[in-house]
Amino acid sequence: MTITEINVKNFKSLYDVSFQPGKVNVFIGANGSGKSTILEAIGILSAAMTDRVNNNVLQRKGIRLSTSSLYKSKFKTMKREGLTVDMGIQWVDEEKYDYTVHLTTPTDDDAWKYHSESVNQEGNLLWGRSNRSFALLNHNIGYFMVTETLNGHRCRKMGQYIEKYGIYQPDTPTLRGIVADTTQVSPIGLNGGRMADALKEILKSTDGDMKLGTLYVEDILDMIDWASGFDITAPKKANLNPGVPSTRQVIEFKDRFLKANATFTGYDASEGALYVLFMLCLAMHPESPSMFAIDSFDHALNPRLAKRLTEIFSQLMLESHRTVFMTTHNPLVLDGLDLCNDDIRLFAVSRNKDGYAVLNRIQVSKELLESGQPLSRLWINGRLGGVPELI
Amino acid sequence: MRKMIGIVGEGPTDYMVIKEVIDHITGEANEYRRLQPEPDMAGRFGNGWKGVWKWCETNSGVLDKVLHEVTPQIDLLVIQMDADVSRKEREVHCLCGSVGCEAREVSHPLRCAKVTEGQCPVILPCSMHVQDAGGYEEHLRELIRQWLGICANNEDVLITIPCDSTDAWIVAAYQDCDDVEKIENPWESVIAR
Ligand SMILES: [Zn+2]
Repeated sequence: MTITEINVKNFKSLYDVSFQPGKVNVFIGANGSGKSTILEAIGILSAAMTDRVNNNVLQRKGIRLSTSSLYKSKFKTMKREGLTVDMGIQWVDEEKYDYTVHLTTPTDDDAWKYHSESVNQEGNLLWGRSNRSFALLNHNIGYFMVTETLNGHRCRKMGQYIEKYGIYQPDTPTLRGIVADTTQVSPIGLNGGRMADALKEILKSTDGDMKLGTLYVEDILDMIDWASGFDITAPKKANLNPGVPSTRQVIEFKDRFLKANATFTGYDASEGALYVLFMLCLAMHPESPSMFAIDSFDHALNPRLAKRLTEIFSQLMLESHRTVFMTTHNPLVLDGLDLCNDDIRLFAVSRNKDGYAVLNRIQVSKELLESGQPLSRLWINGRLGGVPELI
Repeated sequence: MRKMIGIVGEGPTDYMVIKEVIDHITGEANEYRRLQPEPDMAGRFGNGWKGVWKWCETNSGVLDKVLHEVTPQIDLLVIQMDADVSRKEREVHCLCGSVGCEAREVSHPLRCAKVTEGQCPVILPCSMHVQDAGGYEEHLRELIRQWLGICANNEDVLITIPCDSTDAWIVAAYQDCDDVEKIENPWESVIAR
């Protein structure tokens, strides 16, 4: 199953945007360019296709709530305001499919209303609804996943694939277990909650070697230079200040420079180490979403770590057939992307003269990358776009 | 047809003006990339005429790749440097050879200690060029081609040398005189008037 196109119309700065994603998709752009809005639009698409769109669902997916009027595009140059927010996704699963939904933003309550919804197979209508033809349907609910017409149909697989989509944005206090994750999602919260438990679930000893998911712990520790080991335990008085509120499990690191029995918890550990574990857990936990987004992938990463983690993370995404959409401000993240692999795609987001967000896929020849012009440099020098113009 | 245009220029104002001028001439809302060298560790050479110089030298070997092997491709590269650089800056005359200098063989003009110490022997105005707007322009145009390693008939690159600077163009737009771009030292002859 391959997603071939995502399109969005009339949503915030995305007046009319479509793009062909790969499996690992990275968006760069100046602040306010609309790159986070793309992550949100995909969230609304996933909610609309598989459930419904209201504040509760949006919050669960990590989408910033706005007042209703701000969801729709508003530009001076628009002849008239569009009536609906339109989203669509196309994919190939032996045959070509597309799903399209037109929504009206909330008026009296927080529920977005379905104006129309349809799914095509090879361009022929498989199923569809509109608020004219099916007056009996509940306009607050999506029917793609529940209509009997599609029961057992292959097209439902895309619904299952994007159902658990959420925008992850881990923050340090939550990763350290000292702040509760308000967006608690299994297996791991959008802000990093429940990380210790989730790690424990994929931490296994095989033939005397510790493995986290498919990776040897030894190799992970190579990225986190200062740690010689880590484990997940119930909090003990010995390793945690009793004044620190904590979750049921804590991550316990062993510092290679301290004596063997000295351990300390995630509360003391460096941000970078926790962030690496979070990303690896998200990438390898069997219950983590098959499609998700990360806003600011570079958070808390030093340059060397940013490049290395990007390489490993991309590889894990491809191996597990997951799809990720992420934003970054860190040029070194780009150097970890193998753009020669067509599944790994880079997009620059900018605003055109009228203020509409414009997306460009960036491809760079291998020869150029190898001639002393890595992606980080091309980005900093302005060649890729996705930078503030007037500095 | 809309084009993707790269602009290497001295500063943000030049960039804005050149964008508007090109859109006006072509009658299109073209897409632009502002290309700039990254400043060095001391924060130098990221913009200004030294930045343009550095960009050209850094990209000379890979210019064709930088323009055409990144999507979206750049259809036209515009390089801007103000004509007053030729009138005012000793470094750009280092290689003219109008005077002898032992540092010429060993130091890059942008990093020459003689310049920072105020010992650069270059005499301004440099005797190797015609001393008018056209002369300055010809000097800098040829210099930029050398830095980039391109010939005069390269169709990907457009070199623009506003006289005396892009800012002066704006004032010229409000002035009602002929051949305004050929007026030498427009600061005094047009703007201050
Ligand atoms: Zn000279």
